[in-house]
Amino acid sequence: MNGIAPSGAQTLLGPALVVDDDPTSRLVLERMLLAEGYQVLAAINGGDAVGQFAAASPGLVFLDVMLPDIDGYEVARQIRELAGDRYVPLVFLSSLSEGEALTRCIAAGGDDFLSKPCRREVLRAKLTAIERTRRLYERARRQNDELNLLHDRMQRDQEIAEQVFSAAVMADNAASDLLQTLLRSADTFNGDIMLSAPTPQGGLCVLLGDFTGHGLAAAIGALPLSQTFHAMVGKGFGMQEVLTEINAKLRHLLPTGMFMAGCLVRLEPDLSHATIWNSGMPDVLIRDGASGALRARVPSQHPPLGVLPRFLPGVAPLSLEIANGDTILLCSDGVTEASDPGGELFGEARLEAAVCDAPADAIFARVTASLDAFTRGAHQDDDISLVVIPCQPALFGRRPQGGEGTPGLPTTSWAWSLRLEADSLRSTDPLPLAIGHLAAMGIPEAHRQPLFMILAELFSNALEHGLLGLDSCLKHETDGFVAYYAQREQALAALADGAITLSLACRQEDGQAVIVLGMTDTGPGFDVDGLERATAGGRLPCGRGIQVVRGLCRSLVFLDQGRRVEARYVL
Amino acid sequence: MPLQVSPLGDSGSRIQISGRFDFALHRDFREAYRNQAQSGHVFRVNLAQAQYMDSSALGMLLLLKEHADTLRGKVVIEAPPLAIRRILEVASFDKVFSIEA
Repeated sequence: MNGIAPSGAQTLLGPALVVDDDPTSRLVLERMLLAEGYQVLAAINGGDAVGQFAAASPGLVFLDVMLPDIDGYEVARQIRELAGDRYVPLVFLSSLSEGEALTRCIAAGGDDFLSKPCRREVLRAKLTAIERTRRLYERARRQNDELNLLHDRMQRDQEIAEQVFSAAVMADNAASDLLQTLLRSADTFNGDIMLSAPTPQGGLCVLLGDFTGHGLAAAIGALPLSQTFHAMVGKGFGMQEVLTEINAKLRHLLPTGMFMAGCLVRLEPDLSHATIWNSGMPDVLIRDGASGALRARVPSQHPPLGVLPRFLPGVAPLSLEIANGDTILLCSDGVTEASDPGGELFGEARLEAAVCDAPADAIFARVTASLDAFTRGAHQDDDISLVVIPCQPALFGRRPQGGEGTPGLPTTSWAWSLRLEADSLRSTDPLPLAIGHLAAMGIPEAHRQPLFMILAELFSNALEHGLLGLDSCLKHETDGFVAYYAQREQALAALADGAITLSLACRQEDGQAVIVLGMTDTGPGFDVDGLERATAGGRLPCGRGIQVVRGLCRSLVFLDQGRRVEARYVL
Repeated sequence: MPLQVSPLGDSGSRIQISGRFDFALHRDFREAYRNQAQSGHVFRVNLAQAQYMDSSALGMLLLLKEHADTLRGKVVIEAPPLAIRRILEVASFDKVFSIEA
């Protein structure tokens, strides 16, 4: 079916169909078309035309308006239907005046018209134009097909990412029925992430993050983020260490220009204070439970995570006093920058008003209602996330839904120890390492928590009293806390010699599986008997920590003049 | 023109952004500095005519900074309007870039 088009380029247009009941004008047109390189088919009436079109699928149709059987325009309509999506230019042949004919022709679905008798130059010009349009059409259709294919692939990829995200990332979150969360994504996939994990001390850590980009780009960051967060928080690493690791991981993993704005809140089970970090998110709000007013706002204090190679000096998470009954609110900028149909933004003022005006137990409902009322169905451009944390004792002690079952108690004996000297004592926290080891050896979470508390107490005694020689009584005085820690910092920085050895062993003793915890320091020791007499009499307030440890353990003994302590904990 | 580049003396250039500073400017923004290899070059990003900035724009600024760092050059953000200034502050970009009013 190839021919050479007027322009000289090869055409795949296929044969031309000429429909005209007048043999003379039909023949003239046929001849001209043959001269232009087209194969030609001819029909003498409407019915014949439709039949031939269906059979041969011509690429071009010349159609006389006046036909003996069916009206030319009706034939055009039928041919159009048969052609479907295919580009088949349809040129009407008419003896009518130009203006009138053209109007009717276009209205009937024709592309152009030729007035009879046809002139060769006019035909040629129209064929050139037709060719040009056909090439455009073909290109557009190819591009459209390609686009549809790519779009379908992208859609499928996003759906897979969404599944992986939900399963691998969010399922580990500590039972969040008390944490009220709104996570509303702008498209298939959410670039905002909420993580929550219990700390070994029985507290709770909550993170709300906002990754740049959407879709797969955000998914890539979410997986290592979640794994790091849960592993480190679960092992008892401090906030600064968790943040440092997350920052490093994201900086390493994400290309330059991609990062995660995030805020992190850590609550202790006694609800005395909250430690808050905000890098690049809207202000974290703390609402006073008693008055309903805002007790504090924590604005962004640092660039988002993954931007800088290391944290800016002097910037650290903020420790704030809170009380039972307070509420902490975290949100991403999708909330403050949500717009109404007129383009106005929701803003911080409206958010704070909703938080403060709401009754204490309906803050989440009030904020979401306020947001929805404001946006009034306007298109959502950004992911919207909101977390409301009620500061209540019931928040703690929850286990994650996908938590570990109860594996059988370990039967194999093992021993593990770590010795830290002055420099390492300054730079390394051995507790998470010990907890990590316990986890690796299959000790269940339910035991790891009290074991962490025991290790923490024994280690701080060994370091602060054994090596640094501090007086623990100061720690327990109301204002002495700050002074004590200042002293501790100084003494630790000045420590020249000394070492602490932390040891763990798992054994069967008297038919029970027992963890033996040991802590040895190279300090001068102390009068063990004197201390025990004093604490037994309840006169020394600073032996409290040891009393708690005694309560958790089967036995606690001091050896080597107080330099070594051994605790036995029954699994 | 949403983005215009002009030289500043013999060791600097100004990239002027108007309207929306978002992902749509991604290619043009990169083209504006990609071939600049002068040591110590100062890139001034002028936002006086910008009306909107999102996180992808923050990302673009970081990419520019990465390029400038390889040249031991500098990036200065000029004349951000109030709303944009606020976004830069929340992201603490004032601690990462020089910002001139």
